[in-house]
Parts: sequence; C-alpha cells; structure tokens
Amino acid sequence: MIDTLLFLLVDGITNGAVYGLVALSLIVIYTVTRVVNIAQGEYVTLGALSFASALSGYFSPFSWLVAGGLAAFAVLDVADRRLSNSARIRMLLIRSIWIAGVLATAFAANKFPGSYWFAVLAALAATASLGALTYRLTVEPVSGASPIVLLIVSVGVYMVFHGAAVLIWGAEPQSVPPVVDGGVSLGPVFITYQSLWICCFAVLAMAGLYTFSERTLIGQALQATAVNRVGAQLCGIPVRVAGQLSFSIGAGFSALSGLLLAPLITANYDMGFPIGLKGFVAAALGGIVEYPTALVGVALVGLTESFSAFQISAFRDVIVFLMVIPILLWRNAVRPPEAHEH
Amino acid sequence: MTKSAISSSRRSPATASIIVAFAMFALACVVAAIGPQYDVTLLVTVGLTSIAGMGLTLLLIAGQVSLGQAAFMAIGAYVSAILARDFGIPPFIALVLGVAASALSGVIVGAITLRLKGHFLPLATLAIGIATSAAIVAAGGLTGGASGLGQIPPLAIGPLALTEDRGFAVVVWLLVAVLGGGFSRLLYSRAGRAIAALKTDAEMAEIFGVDATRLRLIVFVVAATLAGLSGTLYAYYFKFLSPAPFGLTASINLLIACIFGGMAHPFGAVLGATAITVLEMLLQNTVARMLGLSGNVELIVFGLVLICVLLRWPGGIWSALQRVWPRFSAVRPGRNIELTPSKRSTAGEDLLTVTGISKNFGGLKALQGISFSVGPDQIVGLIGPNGAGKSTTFNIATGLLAPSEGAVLLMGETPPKRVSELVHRGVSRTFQHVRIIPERTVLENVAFGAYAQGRAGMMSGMFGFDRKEEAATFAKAWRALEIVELDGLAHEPASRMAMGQARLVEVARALVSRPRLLLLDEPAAGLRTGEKLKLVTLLHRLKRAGMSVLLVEHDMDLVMNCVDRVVVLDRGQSLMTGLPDEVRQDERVIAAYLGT
Repeated sequence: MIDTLLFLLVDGITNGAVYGLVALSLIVIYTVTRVVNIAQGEYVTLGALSFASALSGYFSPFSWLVAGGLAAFAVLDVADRRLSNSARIRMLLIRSIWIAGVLATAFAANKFPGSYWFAVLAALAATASLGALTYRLTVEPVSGASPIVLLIVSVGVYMVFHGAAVLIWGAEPQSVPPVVDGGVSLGPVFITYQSLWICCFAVLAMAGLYTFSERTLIGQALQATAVNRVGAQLCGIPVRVAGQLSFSIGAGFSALSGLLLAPLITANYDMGFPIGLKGFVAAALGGIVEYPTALVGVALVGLTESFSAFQISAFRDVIVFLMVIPILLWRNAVRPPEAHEH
Repeated sequence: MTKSAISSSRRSPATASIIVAFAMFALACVVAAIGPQYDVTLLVTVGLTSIAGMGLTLLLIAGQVSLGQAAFMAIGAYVSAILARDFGIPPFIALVLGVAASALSGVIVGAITLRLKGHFLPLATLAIGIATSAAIVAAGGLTGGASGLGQIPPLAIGPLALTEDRGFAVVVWLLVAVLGGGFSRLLYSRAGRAIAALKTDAEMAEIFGVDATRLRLIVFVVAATLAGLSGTLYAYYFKFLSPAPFGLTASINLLIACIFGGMAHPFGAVLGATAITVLEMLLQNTVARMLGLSGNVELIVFGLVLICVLLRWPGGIWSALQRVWPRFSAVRPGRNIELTPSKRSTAGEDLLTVTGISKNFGGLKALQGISFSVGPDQIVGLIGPNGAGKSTTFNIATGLLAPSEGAVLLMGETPPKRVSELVHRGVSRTFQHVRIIPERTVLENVAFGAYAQGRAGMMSGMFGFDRKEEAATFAKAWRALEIVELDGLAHEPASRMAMGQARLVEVARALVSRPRLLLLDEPAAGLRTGEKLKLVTLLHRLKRAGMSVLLVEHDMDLVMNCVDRVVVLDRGQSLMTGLPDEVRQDERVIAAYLGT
C-alpha cells in the first residue's frame, strides 16, 4: 500500500514538474501579451521531436523553416520606412546573429550526432525562435484585440503546428534516450534519474525565471508590460520586443519540458496538446498570472492525475480537465479577468 | 407615405431573409433530387453543420464564445441513438429526448459557467468539450467506446420511416431554411436588439430592463439545443456513431465555419459550413491525393484560414454580401405621438431621496453623509471637482452600488435588488462613457430603449408575431430622435456618430423608456457649444413634459443655466445644496474648484 502511494507520489510529482514548466510558459506569455495560448502544448511536441531528430543526426526541415521565417520577417522589419539607418543596421545585425544561432546549433547537432547537449541547444534555439515568430505573425497585427480573439487565433496556431509536426516527422513515435540511464531505489520505489532531472530542471527554471523577472531590468520591463501595455509603451518599453521575448521564453520552457519528458513516454506528434491543457489547468488556479499559486495548481493536477489514473484509469483525463471548472469559478469569484483593455 | 412604406418593407432584411431561406431550400431540393449519392451526403453534412453553426453564431452575436459545441452534439446524438437502439424507444421520440438532453445539459453547463467572465468561458467550454469526448470513450459499455455504436434504426414517425437519404437531405434543409430565416428575422426584433446589447455592455442592457443573466442562459441553451438537434440527425443519417466526429476538432471546425462565414449573421454559418466543406473536399481530392499526404494538410489549411480571417477579414464571407443586403429601416410614423413619462408622480412626492449615505472602498472613504433629493418636475445638478464622489453617488442612487451607510429611496421605495427592475420604476440613465450598440443603426439603438415596454419574445421575433409591437416601438424611437434633432441620422450605423451625437442618442434611448426620473452622467462631455445649448433647451423641454432630471456634470455654465437646485460635492462630502445663484457666489465652492 505504502509502495503504491509512494510510486503514485513520485509519478505525480514528475508529471507535475512537466506541467509546471508549461504553466510557467503560459503565465509568461499571458501576462505580457494577454494571449491565453492554446497552442502552448505544441511547443512541447516540437521541442521533443526536434530534439529527437537532432540527436539522431537528422537535419530536420524544422530548423530551416524557422530560420527562413526569421529571415522573412527580418527583411520586413528592416524595410520599415520609419526606421533610421543606424536602427536598421542594428536590427539587421541582431537578426543575422539570431538566424546564424539557430542554424549553427542545428549544424552542430548534425555534425556530432548523438551529442546530447548540442541536440538540446538545437531544439531549444529553433523552438524558442518559433515562439517569437508566432508572436510576430499572429499576435502583433492584432495586439489590441480582446483576449477572446487572441485565444481563437491561438487555436488556429495550434492547428497549423499540429499538422506541420506530422508532415515533418510523421505519425510514428520516436524513442529518445534519457540524460542518464538508470535510477535510484528509494526504499521500495524505483526513481529514474530522468524523473530527478525533470524535477531538478523545473526547479532551476522556475528559480531562474523568478530571478529574471524580479531582479533584472528586462524582467521588470516585462512585468510593467503585463500591468499596463500603454503605460509601458509610454515609458519607452518596446512592447513588441517584450511580446517576442515572452513568447520565446514560453516556447523555450515548453520545449525543454518536452525534451525532458520524451524519454519517459516517447516523442510523438500527439504528446503536447494534453500537456498544454493540463499546464493550463494548473496555471488557471493562479488566474494565469500568479507564479506561486500556479505551483500549487501544478502539484494538484499532477497528483490528481496519478491517483485517478490508479483508481479509475479510463476517466483520468475527464477528471483532470473538469477540474478547471471549479478552479475557474473560484478564480472568477476571487478576481475576475478584465473583459477588455481600454 | 403608404408608397414609401411598401417600398421599404419590400427591401427590408426580414423579407430578404425569407427570400434567401426559400432559395436555399429550393437549391438543396434540386441537389437532393438530381445530385449523385456523394453530393447528397455532402448536402446533409453541410446542413447539419449549418444547424449547429447557427446556434454558435447566435452565441457569438451575444458576445460569447464556446469551444465545446461538439459536446452538445455528442449528447444529442448518443442519447437518441442509445434510446432508440437499446431501449426500443420510437426513433422520433428518441430524437426529441436527445434534443431535450442537449438542452438540459446546456442549462446545467450554462448555469455553472456563464458567470465566468472574459476568456474564462471559452476555456471552460473547451475543458467540457474534451472531457465529454473522453467520457464517451471511457464509458465504453454504454457508448461503444472508441470502436463506435452501429445499427441505429432509421428516423420514423409511426409507420412513416425516413430511410431515403434524399428525403433526409430535404428534411435537414427545411430545418436550415426555417431556422436561418427565423434567426435572421430575430436579429432585428426586440430580443435581437437585447442580444446585441448584451455583447456591447451587459450593465447597459440591464438598465433598459434586460435580465442579462437569464438572456445569456437562454442564448446558450438555444445554441446547445441546435447542436443537439444537429447531432441527433447525424446519428439517424449515418446510423453509426463514434467519438471522433464530436471531439475538439469538431468544436473548432464549427467555430471556424462560423467565423469564416461571418459571425454577424446566421446565414454566415450556412456560408461558412458550405465553404469549409467545399474546401475540405478540394483538399482531400487534390492536394492530399497528389502529394500523398493525409488529413494534416486540412488541419494546417483550416488553421491558416482561421488565423487569416481573424487577422485580416474579421467580417468573413458575410461582410462581402452585407453590402448588397438591405439595411434595416423602419417607417416613420405619420402622426405625432407624445413621449410622456409612463406614470405621473403623485403631487409633492420626491422621486429620489438620498439620506446620509456613505461609501467606503476598503480604507478609502469615497462618500460621507451625503443627503439630497430630487422632487417632481425638478432638474437637480450634482457637481464637484474630479474625485469628489459624483459617480459613486450616481451609482448608489441607481442601485449599482450599495451604500455602506444611509438610505436611498426611489419613488418612495428602496431601490430594486436587480438593475433590470429599475426601468419599471420609471428610472432611466445615460452613461459617462457612451455605451451604444456599434453594429446597429441609430434608430435601432434608440428603439432598444423601449425594451421594458415590450412583450414579444424570441419566438415571435423569429416568426413575425411582433409586427404591431415593433411598429409602436419604432414610432416612439422616431419621435425620440426628432426630440434630440437627430432624425436625419436614423438609418446610419451607430458607430459612425461623433461623440456629441452619440451622447444625444443615449438621451433619446433613455427617453423611449419613458422615465419619470432621468439620470444624465456627464451628458455634455465632448459636446460642442452649439450642442450644449441644444441640450439645455432639451432639458427644459423634458421638465415641462413632467420629467425630473438628475444631472452629473463638469460644465458649470451648463449646469447653472438649466438646474433648479445644485448639490456640490467635494472630497466625498456635501459642500452645500442650494439655488444656482447661491452656489455661484459661495466662497467654499469657488475655493473647491479653484483651490485655495
């Protein structure tokens, strides 16, 4: 009995750590851009799949697509007539380094097949850049729209990513090796090192994000944008850059959770969406704005999931997804979301 | 007069709707009669998507989004299929029960989730949709689970069985035509205006007597019922059910159909359903087959359609047709009707009495011990510098806020618990930030003010049993527009008005509700000098007609020119109450305004 409980606890915490990274991504994106990102789980998928292909030495068209997209919008941005020449050169320089970074990591992974960390870098660089690209293409043109419109746009983004993942990688699941094989026996329970890695990364990432947003100027600027977009703009904070940055961070974190989780469940095109939604259920507890409350939500979702999987496995997802209703009702009563930003 | 009446009624959107509905039905009959079997199945699919889509469009018009409509389709489909197949209930009765089950789940889900604000509602419906399809798979013993549920009996009423696919298509499109025609007539009726007002601003809708919570629930249940009807018919047509066509993708595709077709009009759902189905066919037959790719191209293309439409073409296909669609118009009445207050107040009775009210927001004392009253045929001005507590006083007087201390009497009684009751007491108001329905004409906006005096519900709105009432409503609306001298703009879209005109339209809308007490919240803000003079004349005229006015205003000159008494607030306290001349010369008032 104790064994089972311990096992479920470890399982729940591991899952919770993965959802935690996704919940953080959702919060970073929502607070800065007011986008409730339905497509968040797809970054998990894309992170895991691009990691799998980079690790096997296969240069996936994903990196080319992202680099191409970055180049296209670099051209668009540099052609903006309102810019001064020096601003243009600076922008061109930054974009070139960025594109070079995405391609360089991809080539490095290609040259050293099997190198774990190059593959991680390649996957993170490409997926995080895709986040920025998504913001640029689908949010910026309608940044003044209501959160509901932004939400529906993100549904469209989800569909494109989901379909594209199958086109690029196929429907076959790909197995991914863990960071370190094996695990430790803690009394009667066996814990894989990968689970420990996941928890470790999750804690590091959360601490990092917390320090970033509380202790650095850029983090403070992001928070200011979160509180009041127009005000932040008037204070000279470039809202567009803040949006791209938040989408990059969000996409990167989700990709990280995807490639860490992949060894436990294999990487496949369908893995991300439910993870994204469960991360959302957790984040909803804090109204998609509060980090600490989201952590409570993460633990709640992870544990509910593993215990209900044990008790009534067929209805596991029904229970986890329906949890969002009481959470939203509670949140709505405590602090309702602003319907519109005037 | 009669000639113009005939020509305008011939070109009204209601008539156009009926013509389009008939044309759709006729076209569907032709396809059903001579098309190949494949086309008949497509026809049924488009029809079923349209039925569910029209419900979702109505929901969108009311300003709500559901990402879980397919759940209601699933409930209707599975309930009727299981009842007819496993319990031997006659198929038609099973159909009715299935639709009823969807409606009931709509009531339950709506009652729980409709209090959610903003983007919380689509997220809750998304979760319900996913949980429903997961539950269908999990409850395999009853529903057949992932492998499906077959051998559903054909739809029949007694001995009359609908086994013929072509006949089925005709029945489906008859429903589409009746519902489509009905809903597009509904848009321009009393209930339709209330639904549109709900999207603009629920609080504003309540001021004119709409029970927003109830109407929102009704619209949600109508959408769920139509989804259920669509699902049940799906079960009887294909005679096989599996969870796949009722999953998240189905809910999203339905939303895409509505947005692509145009979410401003029920026919948009039909257009969208057709466009999406045609697109799907094209993709399946050409791109996918040529490149040897599976259904993922569809997913990508639909996703791109959704993004592009929302980003670049938010009106969808309907916005292109709207240019040739007749604009709403109503005939100007020949005889002059008077817009007098609904009930004359008993002589001497005060309409509004505020006694010693205070309001605390946490530690902040926004108001302390304010007392004043508004008597019959009196214009009272409530003035004070910024932050004096004018708006708080105003909101307490209309029952939007409860005072921390003190009492408010409206027409001698405590204010009603619900804002929507206010208009029945003979109280109406305008808003500091203009709240008019931007999509509708000026005349319709004004006509919405008469909501509380009407009776016609959704059914009479759909099928035209409200003609007499509507004629009376629009006669009043015309009269009110004449009073504020904006009758020339009656058929202009409200979004095109300048600020000053919009404020006067709000006054006209309030007049149509025939109040005894009219509350004006900064009516002169944004008005030009000429318009301000017009407003003063208007206020005197209203007073002569037996109306009392409470006026919150910044413009001292305007207030002093028309009010009988002035209440001056400063920093949450009552500075003085008196005649305009007394106030003008009072040193405390001058000090409060100019600073000491």
